[in-house]
Amino acid sequence: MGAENRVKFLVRKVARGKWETTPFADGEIPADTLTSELKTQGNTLSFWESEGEDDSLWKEVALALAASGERIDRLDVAWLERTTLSDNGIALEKTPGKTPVLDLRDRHVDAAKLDVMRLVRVSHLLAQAIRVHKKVRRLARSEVINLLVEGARAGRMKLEDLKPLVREEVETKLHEK
Amino acid sequence: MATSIQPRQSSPISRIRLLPSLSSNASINETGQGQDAGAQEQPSIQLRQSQGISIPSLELKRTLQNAIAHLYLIETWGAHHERLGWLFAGQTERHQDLAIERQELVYRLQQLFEAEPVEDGMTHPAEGLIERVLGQQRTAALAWLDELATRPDYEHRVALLRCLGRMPVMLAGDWGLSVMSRALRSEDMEVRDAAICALELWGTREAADILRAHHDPEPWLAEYVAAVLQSIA
Repeated sequence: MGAENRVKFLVRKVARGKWETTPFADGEIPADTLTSELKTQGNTLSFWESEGEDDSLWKEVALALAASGERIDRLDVAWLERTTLSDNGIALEKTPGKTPVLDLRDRHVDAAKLDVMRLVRVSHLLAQAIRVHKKVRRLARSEVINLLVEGARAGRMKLEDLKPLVREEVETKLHEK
Repeated sequence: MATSIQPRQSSPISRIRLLPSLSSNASINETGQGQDAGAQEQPSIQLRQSQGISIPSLELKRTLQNAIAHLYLIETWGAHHERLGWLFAGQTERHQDLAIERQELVYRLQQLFEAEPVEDGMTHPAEGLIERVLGQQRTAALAWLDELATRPDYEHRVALLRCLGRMPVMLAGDWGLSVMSRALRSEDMEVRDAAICALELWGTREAADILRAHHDPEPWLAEYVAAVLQSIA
């Protein structure tokens, strides 16, 4: 398959527990999930574009997200096909990603011009991706650290661009190995 | 100095109709008349009572205590003893202070958790508050936090467990392990998830022992436990 024909995915950081919890009927999404997990800014939601079906699909995005964090924790990422959003009337706009990983900054995509109805649609699509299609991956903390260390070793980010707690831990690991 | 406090004959609060709780089959129509649920379709949005805490009331309480102590209003207290008794009833001064500090902690936590969720990869202001309170009076604070962290109906239980899990392992100690052990027995998967996350962060042999003994019914959480155990080992 040519590069231009490869399926594109949009990956987003989630808190898996909030999506898997269903105190109501099957398929219903708790309001708390919407308000805590899909917090919009300027009527946009942040996604990262990725390609392919293997682990690299989520690994690159996980690196971008972990490197921009204030501390290192386990990390959940979920994804859906780009066309799933665009076919549902969600406008997608490329915007610069806020991550210290330089080569991933142009992978950032905003779901833009979201009104309440479109936001609810996004929540249903994400819930389906996580609950039904299991397009979700949890990285244990040690996996996140390994990603960051590999990224730093490959020179994909400057250590001084990392937040203090993250930098400290990555530096320690770099010296250990 | 004579002071009189007139009871309000008809407080507005007494006229507020109580709305049906989740378990009630009753509903209220626009005229305020109760109806049986069988006669009309159950409303899709349900209302229930919950407890509110407001800092002004705590400040008011402290102000009243000071006023009574310093201005000798206590002389006029007799007639209103029943209504003001809650200020001092059976408590020493130290206990009053602790009760107020506990309420303030609960209130501050509520404020912080409502302002922003606890997010992976991001620090949360409640972490600093918890460390400060534990630094000031560890014994009392541990009891308050323990009670909140183990109460199934505490609405910020998951957020609190996440913040407790971020305490340095030396500060959390055996108490932290005990709280997380109990959280692992919860039916709420988010509570168990928060406990596993805490044990992952602490990463001690004791934490690993607790995780090894835990068999989570949720497959993705069981996988997480396995991954954590592998990394601790």
